[in-house]
Amino acid sequence: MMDVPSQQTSVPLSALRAGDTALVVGIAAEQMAAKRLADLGFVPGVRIKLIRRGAPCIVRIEGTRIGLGTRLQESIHTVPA
Amino acid sequence: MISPSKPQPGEPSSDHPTSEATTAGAVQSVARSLEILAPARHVALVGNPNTGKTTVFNKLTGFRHRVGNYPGVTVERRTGMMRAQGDVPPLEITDLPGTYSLAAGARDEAVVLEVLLGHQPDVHRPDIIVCVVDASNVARNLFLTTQVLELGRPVVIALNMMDVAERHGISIDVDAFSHDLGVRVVPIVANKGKGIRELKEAIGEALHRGVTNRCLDFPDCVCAELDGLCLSMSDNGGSPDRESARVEALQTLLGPGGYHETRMIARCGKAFADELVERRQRITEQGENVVEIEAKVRYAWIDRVLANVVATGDEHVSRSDRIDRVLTHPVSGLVVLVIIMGVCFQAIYSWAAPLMGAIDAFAGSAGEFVRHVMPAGALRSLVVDGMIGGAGAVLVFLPQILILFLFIAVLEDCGYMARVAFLLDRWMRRFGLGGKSFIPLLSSFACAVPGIMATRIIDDRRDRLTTILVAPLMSCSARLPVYVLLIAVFVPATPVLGGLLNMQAVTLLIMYALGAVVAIPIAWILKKTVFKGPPQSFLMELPGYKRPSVRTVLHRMFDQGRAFVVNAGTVIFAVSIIVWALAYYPRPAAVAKEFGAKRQAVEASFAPRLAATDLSEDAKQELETARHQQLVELDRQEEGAYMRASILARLGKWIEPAVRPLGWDWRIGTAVIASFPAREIIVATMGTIYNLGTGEDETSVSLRQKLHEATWPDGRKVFNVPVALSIMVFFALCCQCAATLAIIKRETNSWRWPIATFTYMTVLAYIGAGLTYHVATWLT
Repeated sequence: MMDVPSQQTSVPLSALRAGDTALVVGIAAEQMAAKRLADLGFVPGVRIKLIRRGAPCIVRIEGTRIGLGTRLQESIHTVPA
Repeated sequence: MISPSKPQPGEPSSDHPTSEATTAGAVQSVARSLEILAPARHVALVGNPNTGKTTVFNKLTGFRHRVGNYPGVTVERRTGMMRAQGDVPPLEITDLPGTYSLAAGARDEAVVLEVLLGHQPDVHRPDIIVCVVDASNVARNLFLTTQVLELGRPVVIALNMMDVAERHGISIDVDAFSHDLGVRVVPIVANKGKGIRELKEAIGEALHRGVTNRCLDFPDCVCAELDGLCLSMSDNGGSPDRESARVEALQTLLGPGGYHETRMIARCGKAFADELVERRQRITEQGENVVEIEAKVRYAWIDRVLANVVATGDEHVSRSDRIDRVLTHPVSGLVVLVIIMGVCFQAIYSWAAPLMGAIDAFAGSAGEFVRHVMPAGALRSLVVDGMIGGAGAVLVFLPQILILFLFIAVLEDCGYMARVAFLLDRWMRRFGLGGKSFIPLLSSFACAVPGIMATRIIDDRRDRLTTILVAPLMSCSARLPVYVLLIAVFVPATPVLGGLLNMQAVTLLIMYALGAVVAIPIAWILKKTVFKGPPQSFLMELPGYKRPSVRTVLHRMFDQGRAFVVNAGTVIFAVSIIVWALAYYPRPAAVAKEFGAKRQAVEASFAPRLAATDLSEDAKQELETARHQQLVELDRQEEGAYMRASILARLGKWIEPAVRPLGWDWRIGTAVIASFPAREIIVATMGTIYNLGTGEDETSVSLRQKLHEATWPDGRKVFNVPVALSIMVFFALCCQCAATLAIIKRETNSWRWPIATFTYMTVLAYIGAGLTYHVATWLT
């Protein structure tokens, strides 16, 4: 996982609180969903901010707001930062 | 890692234009001097969703364009001509669907890359690609841009929404940007028309200059596998040029489980699949993640480029975020949504009513006019009942559809539509659908045609087809006349709920709810069977709010309105004429003879009395009126007799055994067949069948009376409450609407889905009507 913090301390995006910022450390989704997330910028090392919790939630990434359903939120592993 | 694309022998590159590029330039200038002879050049417009790409397209083409479908997929194809300007030749522009990446999970998403590579049948490979980038969100937009730069075509970047970027405190060094990407970057504000002229010039310039794109490098381990894969693919008939082959190889190699992989394996066979696995294995052994590597490399490159190009203002809570605090809140968001939808529906019903009345009256008086100027006969009947009636049936819904489209266009353009999908996703998910299905289904309460057109926002094909298939179950406004007529005649106005409502209102409410309630299990079953597959988790950008552009909104509204008239209209019109012919012919001579004799008898009975010399003016007037009335009554009876002798009535009698379990006689069966083009026609058909002549509507007292009086041959009354309910339930659930079927055909690009929709809904309607009849009979 290169220079990002280890996955042991990571929590899924769904466990963050609204307003928290975090670094993405890994994505554990089915291949096509993972590819879709990656192409939108969800790659290890990227900083995100959870704007609204819930299903779906709102995440700020690379200057845009993205709505994410439950399964996708759970597949994104983050380290609060 | 920033570097120009590796120059290959014999290929134009940014730094050292080769002889071939010069030759190409010479050819182009010859072509320019012979402009009339030159074949049209093609431009493709690509970009992320919500970048104002369609506004750019409209500005470049001056709002003149054609809309169609790509063969084999459900994706809209929009093309237009950009007029010559200065030394820029006329160009054909294709507006490709908005996308975040060239990677594709399904066929519909693959259209963008297929067109760009020239693989899409009937579509020219673009000579130049214009990439629309949202200046307020450059990083994410550049992902697609870097993919597009690798296609080996000249690229121009339209940096749109510069005003929004400025407001957010973002400043962009356009020259440095242009230099780093190796292509012209043109700052524009498309909705204000700023920079469009410069964009056109840049397109012309790029056409002459050829490929100057700078591309990024992938790690060696990926490059080695890509080169190898390109070789294997070219053995199996891959893309002719190097860049296309490489892009295809990249999407195949780095998109496991995606469309390009599936397609290549289907073409190249099992050995290729094994080769792919091995190549990915080798990348993984180098410590790279196959799924993430493309994004990782591209975003790293983008970040480095942008570090010198883009200066962002202070981190601040944007206006959109503040609005979202209310509008995406699970409680206040829903309250606002309900209010907006309430206003929208109120407008659709109340604003449209006078216009619909006017169109109806106009069609009516046009019919009357023709009736007076043309001699009686088949041709007059064709014009009045077939053509004017058919056109009226289409146009009467136009006001509602335009108002609905107006609201959809405003909500979409200001960015609210994404919030609707966001808010309702959790609710729609319970029925197996996603949040994006809500607006199409809600629109279908006005009319299924715009509802089905609105399903274009649903990107999951299975969700979209499920929504299309259940949309016609929503109680559209064409069902209302049927309900109004039958409820007024047969349902007593008994007060219920302590006088708060009466039985008639309750029945109407139940009829309205019925379709939506039935749609829930149908959607659920469809998603479990025909459209089975892993449910797609919600993934959608929530774009920033912006003031909707009047021109864009009006343009979209009229565009959709025209699509309705052209697509639905022609079908309703054609089917109306067929049904007219079925109801008009064969005009047996016996009927003419019988009524000729009856007319003579009337004349004969009046003639001596009118001829009497001692008649006062008043008495004479009275006799004339009576004579006239009897003759008009005979005309009506004759129309009815012809109708009962028509092919349509024979069909009705033929299906009577089938409709008897529903409590219907052949006349109801006939009226139901006649209402195939559009449900509301049943009211007029019943009018004719029951000897009332044409021109009856649901509020006509005489039609109501006739329905009460109709009997079976043994003297029993045909109509009673169970029969009326059974007809209403049938119409609530059936798909007697040629326009809906035509639009399903257009949107799905296949006859399979309209046929499936018609079949399942008719079966459902038949069973529902039968059950209703028997239960209601048993209860009363």
